[in-house]
Amino acid sequence: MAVSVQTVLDDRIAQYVNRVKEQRHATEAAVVQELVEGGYEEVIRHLHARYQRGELTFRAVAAELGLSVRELYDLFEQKGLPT
Amino acid sequence: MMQWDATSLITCAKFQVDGRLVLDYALDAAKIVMTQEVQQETVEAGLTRGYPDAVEIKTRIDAGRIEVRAVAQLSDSFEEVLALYGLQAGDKAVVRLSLQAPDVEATVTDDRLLWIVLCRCGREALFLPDFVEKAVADGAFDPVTGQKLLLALRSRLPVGFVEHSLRRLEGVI
Repeated sequence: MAVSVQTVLDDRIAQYVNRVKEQRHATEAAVVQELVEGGYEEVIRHLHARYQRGELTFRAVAAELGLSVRELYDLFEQKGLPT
Repeated sequence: MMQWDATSLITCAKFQVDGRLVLDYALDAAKIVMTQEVQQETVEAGLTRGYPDAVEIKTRIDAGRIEVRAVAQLSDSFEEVLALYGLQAGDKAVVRLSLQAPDVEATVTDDRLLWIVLCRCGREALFLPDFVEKAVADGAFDPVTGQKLLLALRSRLPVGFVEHSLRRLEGVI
């Protein structure tokens, strides 16, 4: 389920978005979406690393991401991350 | 009887060796018991989203090959300790069952923190590759089958875990 959000960007981020937008002839929304997805990916990998180090349980990672255990299993599998 | 945690169970219900689910090899080795919480996580949540592994687990529960048990809370002091570790409801249920069920020999889990907590509670915990090694040692299947099972599960387990068990089954370490 896709969700549409409105947000205010920091000046530096806005400058980056404008530069990439012009460079790639992309829309502002597409560049922002790419940034958000990159941030989410980073969160997943950070939590996975903490899980692998035994700092968090698998269920705690699922709770952090707002996912069920089965959804997190699927997400890790899709990304080639071991359980 | 072995207690199984959710991710190990899902993995074994997804992968096959010689046309047979790894879960069935596991059931050859020892009866499986799980908490109601793990049933919810693997079967109920899985069925809702149409995962075939959820159907496989449910079929074996319905056939009486996998047992599901309810667990009671531990003492307030114990529950407080489990909360301090950051354990979630499903994690706590796994620890409770391991402590409350004298017929549960060990708990099979992939979860490093849960493994540590179980060991610190004086209960035996096995990572999935350790379970395979134990099953071979107990004669449930031969070392070659054990190696095939480990290779089938390799993609879902951290680097090093499977290789360690493979070397031990090969008798080189």
